[in-house]
Amino acid sequence: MSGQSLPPSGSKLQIEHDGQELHVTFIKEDSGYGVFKLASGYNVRFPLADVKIIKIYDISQDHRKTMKEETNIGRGAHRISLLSTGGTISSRVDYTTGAVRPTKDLSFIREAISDLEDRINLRTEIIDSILSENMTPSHWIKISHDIKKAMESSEAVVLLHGTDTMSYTASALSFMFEKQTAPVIMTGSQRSSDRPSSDAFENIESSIRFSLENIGEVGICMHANSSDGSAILIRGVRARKMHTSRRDAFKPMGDGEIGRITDRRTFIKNIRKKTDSSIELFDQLDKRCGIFYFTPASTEEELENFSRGKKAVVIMATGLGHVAEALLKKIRDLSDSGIHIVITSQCLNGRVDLDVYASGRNLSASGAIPVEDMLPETAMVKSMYVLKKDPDNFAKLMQSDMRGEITLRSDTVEIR
Amino acid sequence: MNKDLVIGLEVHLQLNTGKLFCRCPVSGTDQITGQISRRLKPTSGESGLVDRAAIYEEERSRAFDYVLTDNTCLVEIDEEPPRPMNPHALSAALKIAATLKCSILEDIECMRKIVIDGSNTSGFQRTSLIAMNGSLDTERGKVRISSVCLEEDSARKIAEEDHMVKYSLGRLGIPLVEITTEPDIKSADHAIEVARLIGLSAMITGLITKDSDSIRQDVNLSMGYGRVEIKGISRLSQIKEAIESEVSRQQSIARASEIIKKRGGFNRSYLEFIDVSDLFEGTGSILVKKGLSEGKRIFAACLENMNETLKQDDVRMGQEIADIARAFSVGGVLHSDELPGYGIDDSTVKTISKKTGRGVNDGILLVITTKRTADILSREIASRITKLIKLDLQETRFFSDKGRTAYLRPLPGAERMYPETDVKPFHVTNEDLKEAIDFGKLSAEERIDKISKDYGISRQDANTIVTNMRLPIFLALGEFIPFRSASRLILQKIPEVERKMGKSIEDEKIIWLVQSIVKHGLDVTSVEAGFEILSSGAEMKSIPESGEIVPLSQNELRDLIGDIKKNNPGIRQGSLMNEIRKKTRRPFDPRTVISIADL
Repeated sequence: MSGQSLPPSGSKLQIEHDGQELHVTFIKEDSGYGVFKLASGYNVRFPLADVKIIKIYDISQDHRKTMKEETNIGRGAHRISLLSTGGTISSRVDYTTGAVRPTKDLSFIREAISDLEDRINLRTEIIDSILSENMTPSHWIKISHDIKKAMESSEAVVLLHGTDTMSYTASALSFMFEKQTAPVIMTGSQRSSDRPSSDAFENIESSIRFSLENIGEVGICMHANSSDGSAILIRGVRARKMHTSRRDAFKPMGDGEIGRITDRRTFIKNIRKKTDSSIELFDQLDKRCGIFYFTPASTEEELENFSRGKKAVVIMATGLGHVAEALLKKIRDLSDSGIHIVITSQCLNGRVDLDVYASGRNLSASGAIPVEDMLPETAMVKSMYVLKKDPDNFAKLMQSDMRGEITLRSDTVEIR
Repeated sequence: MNKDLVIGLEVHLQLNTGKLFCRCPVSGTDQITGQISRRLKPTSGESGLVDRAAIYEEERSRAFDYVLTDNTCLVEIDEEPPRPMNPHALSAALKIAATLKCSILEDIECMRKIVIDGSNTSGFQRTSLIAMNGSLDTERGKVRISSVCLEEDSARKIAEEDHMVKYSLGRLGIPLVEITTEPDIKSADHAIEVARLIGLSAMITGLITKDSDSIRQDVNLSMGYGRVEIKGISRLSQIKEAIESEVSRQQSIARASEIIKKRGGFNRSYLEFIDVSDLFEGTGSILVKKGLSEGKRIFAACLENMNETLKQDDVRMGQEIADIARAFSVGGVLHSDELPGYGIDDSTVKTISKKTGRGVNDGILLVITTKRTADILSREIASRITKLIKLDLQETRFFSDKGRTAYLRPLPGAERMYPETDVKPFHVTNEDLKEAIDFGKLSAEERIDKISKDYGISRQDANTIVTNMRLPIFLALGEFIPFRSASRLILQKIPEVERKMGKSIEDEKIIWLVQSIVKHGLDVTSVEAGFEILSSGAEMKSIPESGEIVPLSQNELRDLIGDIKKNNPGIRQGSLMNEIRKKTRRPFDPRTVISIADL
């Protein structure tokens, strides 16, 4: 095919390759190769130099189902807003690059919620189209504005989000929405919606079921286990992605479970109800915060370099909240210089306690702030919020519960 | 047979190289390790179109239960992306392709073939085209091979009830080589020959599993009414049965179509089902009674112009209707050609005829089901009848255990295929390519000749070793004992021992036993003795150390023969051997007996 110009993708061609004539659909060019679809549906890749185009037929019609960036689904009474930020849940195969990436086509949602169409009036809106690993605190602030707007005109907000950093966004929204008049149910999927086995359909359906409840907080709704048919709602500040690929990757840490759906029946427990007064959104975050993962190889220098330019450093310490003695002096220096050192545990389950061992007491004496059973990621996001909200009372606020991120009583829930 | 009959074959063979996209073994113990349940939704492919076979499955809206076995991991339950393609499976498939004189594709792109009948947890089967344009020489001329694909085997269905299907996942992901011929096959007997030769070309690699369903054939058949794909033929002999029953079915539909068209045709887009359950109060019909007790209703509809086309000597449209009902999990279907009957009397039939407005040429259909399913069936049955009368017979069917073909689903289109984005396209290595091409220089038959010559065994034995998938163990045993002995052990001794034990012995265990006995400086006589005492219940581990496999020495034989002769002075040679065997299980050299006995 050297010297021949390539037809547009989707064109029907007759080509010759290796002495054989083939009727194919041209899919794409890929670094010197032509990708063609045979009548059987199989794709073949031939070096373009070995392919001769004999004939080009008309370009086939594009049958792709499309949906406007905003649309309404359902004829019921409950007005619900569904905002999409991207992620696997709104991803499809990109036939040009062969990769899976977010699209602006939310038409699959209609199929996912056909059972609920009589009850709801769902307005969908694409507010962004990115994978969640590319989210930054600036995105959280923008999302909070979009949610506030949606909340003003509807009874609930469902937010589609990539799963990788979904719990960070959930924590940020939990703190920023000081009062909310509607539930914010975040959901994502571990299998893209172009797969028949995608968990997207049920996750969206379950999120909408939860959104019909009287919930005044931010939760993450995902599969409760590997089977379809049951979903879990996890408090935003208590959720963590604990598996790279399973449908039930999100686990409630501590007593984070606030709802469950089994066989289309919704159970809610231990939730904050929505407020009747107006929405209170605090949309400022101090981004100068980070998480330092302590290891036996960690050095003073490393900690110092990491802390440069930060206002708060959350240390993921070992066990009950310990770091090596060799770092204590540096922690004291950093603390004295005005950088807050917050102590959480790599164990993720359980509470930090700096009073049990001498090393803990020394860390405490160095000015470090232990934050009970708060998750490290939640602690970092909360630091961002508190540094803007009430920096003078940083330690006090970090150590008190604001949105369910700290529980003073450790329930005997199953340890995950 | 019909002169317009055109036949092609698809032969599927399982490879024993380990699963295709994970590192699970091909065989497990079938021990159940867990269970999950899932639902599947059809999605659109590259072109934006949704596959018609997929939509059909969606309309049936079923839930799937999956039983996990000890050879499944997160990949089989669609909880982890696939690992790169198993290189051993690819290399085996390439060898098979080369043996069938195909041109191998140097760049391979894995596709997803949408299958939402639940047999794949992902909702698609991963499949790669690896070679095209081969050919096979047969006694009735050349048959072209269109393609060789390497795909994942599906999960095995183990139960089916209303709206629920249960699969076992042990088989899911086993590499399957799919060889498709052009429609060059001339008759059912020819199809058997082609299937046998294709099977041989694959078995000659020694990499086909020994499972009972390791080889499955699909027949593609057309007699001018559209292509019918008949799936699930596991034995060669069934190929002929399947083709003959399908040909007779199509001829019968052609006759029915003619009759119905002559009467004015079937012009309905749906059947007008009316609920006639009230007529069956206190009915004697067991079928109806059972349905009513399960909360179902009896629906009746008029079948326009179909009287006496439903079940007569050579027209059986009733079977076609029952097939589509069964696809929607409805078993209770009755029609006017079999009524009165099944406990339903003439007066009830007359009342129903009146209620449904049945005319003289019309038939009646009774369906025992729920209102919701009846609504679906109303359109499905009407559209199927319309399609059949138009003689558009293309669809996917399966060969049932009743010796006939039955409806499975619409024929899938190219829309069902789109790229598997979790597996990167890759280039076949030069080593793999060269190895395959070298292997393909001999045909399967030539290779069997070579095995016979190289290892000094008869051609028939060489052929049996290959077609019984015993080539790997034959070659493995040849490391320890002479190949002729290995052949005798595999083809005679071990099957005999297995019969006695009532179970098969795993290949690894056979190799271990032979190796362990030979390591003690003993020869094949002791190996056979070892298997003999295994069959009488000895623990395998103890056998290599057992004195019972050590051959009798000259002295021991002399003493034994002396004893026997004392009691039986005139004993003959044959009886002497038997007497020795009665006294000891230990092996001995008959030639030594003859020389000692001096008979």
